[in-house]
Order: sequence, then C-alpha cells, then structure tokens
Amino acid sequence: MNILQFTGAVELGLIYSLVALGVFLSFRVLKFPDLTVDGSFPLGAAVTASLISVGINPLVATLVAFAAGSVAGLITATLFTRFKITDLIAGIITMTALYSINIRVMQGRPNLSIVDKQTLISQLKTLLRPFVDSFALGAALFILVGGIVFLCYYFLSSQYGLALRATGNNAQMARANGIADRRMIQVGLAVSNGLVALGGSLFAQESAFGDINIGIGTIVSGLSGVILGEAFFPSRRLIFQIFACVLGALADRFILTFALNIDGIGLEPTDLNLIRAAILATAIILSNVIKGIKS
Amino acid sequence: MFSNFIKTIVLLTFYSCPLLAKTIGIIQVIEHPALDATRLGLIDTFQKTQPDLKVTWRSAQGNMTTAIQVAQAFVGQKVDVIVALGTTPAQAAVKACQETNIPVIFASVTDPESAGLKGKATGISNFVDVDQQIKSIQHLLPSLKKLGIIYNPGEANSEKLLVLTRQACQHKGLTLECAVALKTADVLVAAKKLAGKVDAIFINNDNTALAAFPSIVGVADATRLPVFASDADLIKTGALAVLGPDQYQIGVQTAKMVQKIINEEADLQTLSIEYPDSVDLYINKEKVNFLGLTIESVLSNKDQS
Repeated sequence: MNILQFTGAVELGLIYSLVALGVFLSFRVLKFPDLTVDGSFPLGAAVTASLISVGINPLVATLVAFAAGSVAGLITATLFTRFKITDLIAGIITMTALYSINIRVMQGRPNLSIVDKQTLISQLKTLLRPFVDSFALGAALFILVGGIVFLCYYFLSSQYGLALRATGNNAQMARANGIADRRMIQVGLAVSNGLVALGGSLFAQESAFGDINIGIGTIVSGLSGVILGEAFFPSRRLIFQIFACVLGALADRFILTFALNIDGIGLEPTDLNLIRAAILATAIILSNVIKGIKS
Repeated sequence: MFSNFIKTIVLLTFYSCPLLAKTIGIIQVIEHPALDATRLGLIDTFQKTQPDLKVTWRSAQGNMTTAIQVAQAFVGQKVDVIVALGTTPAQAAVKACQETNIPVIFASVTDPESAGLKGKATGISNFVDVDQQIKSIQHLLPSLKKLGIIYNPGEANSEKLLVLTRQACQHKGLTLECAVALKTADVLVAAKKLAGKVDAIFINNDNTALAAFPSIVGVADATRLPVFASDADLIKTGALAVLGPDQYQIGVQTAKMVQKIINEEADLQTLSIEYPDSVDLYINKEKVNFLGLTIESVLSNKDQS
C-alpha cells in the first residue's frame, strides 16, 4: 500500500460511511431491512451530476440529492406502512423503479460526466489547499462527513430520535406510549435514504461523473461497514455506534486495498472478490474469537 | 486486536517497492470475452516487443468504486501509463491522474467526448460507422424490413449506439424494434421477444448482450433468424455476419499507442483519439448455408470500410 492508496481509501471510506450510517439507521435502529439503498445511492449521484451539468450551484445540487433520497425512502416506507407490503419487497420495488428513474434524471443517459465543472468538493479543496496541501480532498470530505455525522447524532439523541429508536426496539410498546410508529418508520427511512443519497452525491462529485451502475453492491458495502464496525467496537452507546459505522466503512475500503495489493501465491486478478470475501470473513471471525476470550 | 490493525496499516502505508523498468497498469471494468481479447492483444504485444515492461492488470469485477481504488493504486505505484478498458475506468483513471503527469490511454470507449475524456486522455474508440453496418446488413439481406436490437440502457456505449442505429434505420427505411436487457439473465427473454417480430437481430457492441450472445444465437437458430454483430470474435459463436473490429487487434493498436508515449516520449495532447484499424466484414459460411441464403455475390465484392 502506498500513501495515495491510503488517502484514497480514507476518502472513499468517508463517503461510504454515510451509506453505513443510513444502513445502520434502517437495519439496526428501525430493524427494517431496507434494500432501497442500491437505488438511492446512484439517485443521489444522478441528481447531483445532472444539476451540476446544467449549471446549478453544487451546494443546492447536494441538498436536492438528499431530498430525492428521502423521497425514495418515504416511498418504501409508505409501501410498507400503508399498503402492507413486506419490508424487503417494498425496498426491492423502489430500488427496481429507481434504476429507470436514475437514467431519466441523468437526461436519459447512463453516464454523465461533470469533469470540467466546479463541485462542492473541488471548491472546498481549493479553500483548504493552502493549509493541508495534498490531503485537501481528505480534509474536505472529513469536514463534510463529520458535519453530517454530527447532525445525525444530534437527530438520533433528540426526543424525536429517541422515539425513533423506541419504535425499532419495540413498536407495540412505543405505540402504547403514544409514539406514532408508522410515522417514525417513514421519517427513519427518509433520513436513512437521504444519507445514502448524500453519499452518492459526494461520490459523483469526487469522481466527476454519475453512472447508473455505481449502485451495484451499495447495500453490501453499507452492511459490511456496519458489521465490521460492530465487530471492532461493540457498544450500546449511540455515539460509539455511530462512530463504529464510520470506522467500519473505512475498514471495508481498506480490506479492498489490501486485496488489491496481495500478489503472488498463484492468485489471479480475477480472484479479487474472493480475496476480499476471505479478508472480511477473517476479520469478523477474529473479532468474535477475541470477544470469546475476553468473556 | 485493533492496535495491531492500525500497526499493519501504518506499516503497509509506507511500504512501496522501488521500480526500475517502465510499468503499465491496466484497469478492466469487468471480465467478458471482448474485453478479455483486447487485454490479451495488449499484453501479447508488450511481451513480444518489449519484454522488459512490467505490466500489471486488475479487474474491477463490475464495481465502479473498485475501479476508482485500482486507479488510485496505480497512481500511487507511479506507473508510467494507465490503460483503461471501458468507459467508467477511463473516467476514474483521468480523475486519479488529475494532479500527476501519468497519461491515461483508453480502449473500448464508444463515445469519449460525452464521457468527458477528450483532451484529458487518448486512446482507441471502438466506434464503427453505424451507417456502414446497416448498409452491409441490407446488402446481405435485401428483403430486410424489421431489424431487432438488444441493448442495455445502463451502458453509456450502448445508449449512444442505439441513437445512431435508430437514425441509420430511419435513413435506410427500416423499422427498428428494441428489446431491453438490464443484465445477462434478461437477454434470453429479450431475444425471444424479438424472435417473432423481426427479420434479423443486430447486436451492436452491447456488453450485456455480447456476454449472453450464445443465448441469442440459440433463439435465433430455432426460428431461422440471422444475427448480425459488430465484433469479429462473434463469427465463432454463431453470428451470420460481422462488420466490426477485431477486439484482439484493438488491443494491439492500443499497445502501439502506449509505446509511442513511453518510447518516443510523445505528448498525450498530440496523439488524437484513433478508431479501429481493421474494420472488416466477416461472414460465417456455415450460417449462410443453414439459413439457406445466397451471399456469394457479396463475398466477391467484400465491403471494406
């Protein structure tokens, strides 16, 4: 691994930590296995690339991406709460529809380049360059993601967030205590997919293009971030759980970096995903073994 | 456990090996026959002409984020040239090389301009003149009225070619019937949808349809339907005729471009985007007999474009 791979993994890890946070919110807090994210991640990228390409301010484009992701989450939640469609299927329905919607959002094209345009990230980079030089991109993402993570913590630790967590823990009990549990699922999934779309938005701005296929495997990345985070930092305190999501997403990116750097022992470039899976399994098994020894 | 994890990261971060020979990094978006053939042409040419070159290739296995990390890895290793096979890895490589002077050479990109690659990278576009292709198809099948096409709207290359094919068909008085396949598993259904409706099927460089080409041929053979394609290798897999480049040769052509940069120190800006050298009309004689066609007349005055 070289320094550029290291910073690159950190940058992408920070972007994917928003996905991990979104997945944490749906899978762990609300106990709602939401597959919408495979559609809302490219949706965020598509909205942002499309708006920036027609000259809209990048900050506005990023906020619209969040809103679009929230709407996607709201649709899944509505299918579930109002129309009684099973959680998994509701997510699959929205995700499937989003594929076509994303192509329409990108002006009917599967790939939209914004390589010559100013983005939120490039603007922040220019701003930070005098201070941190080559780590400007990482620093820019750190500020953006840090801010979003803080807002997320603030939201979840508020009265409203507490009601949200109570709904996930025990919906019947929450309802008995006067919490509108259906509303909570709608809000929770909207925020969750909004976060994922923000991740997609930053991804498009960092890589300078939106592509319909970047959504493939988003849920897998998000989940492995959440699970790796839990494996390394088992905690019941909210602040640590959120922190674990970020670190887990970073670890997930580093696993790929390691996999890319493993050469020899008869491995072929086509074995990449096999190596990745092996490292992921080993990391989780190791952490379980360590936990076993400790208890 | 975690402190060890950090130690490993730190150790590996500052470990990089010194390099003497020139190095080439190849990023391939996904494994499929046409791209594999291009990669082979590349690597074979390097091995024949400059065995001292160090060539590493990585596949993103269809994942765009992986493509970005592969590009970053190559930039970090300070390779002399990055070769990107496919549109998204080319975009990822251009972005990763933005602040370096590593040249990016691409292959298998149909529309470099809309991909934002023009002026930032150069290479071989696999674009073949669609008008010419439709003309050859009509030449072989004068009775043709309805042409079917299978494509994936999620592929930048395909979407561009579909627009051009539609224009060419209008121009030549043909009706174009589209069938969408979002993944290789959908191709069989798409082929069956077309089978009853069209006089011939045309596959124009769509990665998804190409990967499932045998299933298209299976459906077409059952209904005695001619299949045309744009990739020379597909003659072996059962296309009736192909007007297009040889993917292996595109690899050879790409390698020559890379060598201009590393051996002659040519400037990226002076090398304009090239088109495939060898675009030929290939005809599958077995299929001609199977379909009961007579194409001898065409064979004698082969269209060269």
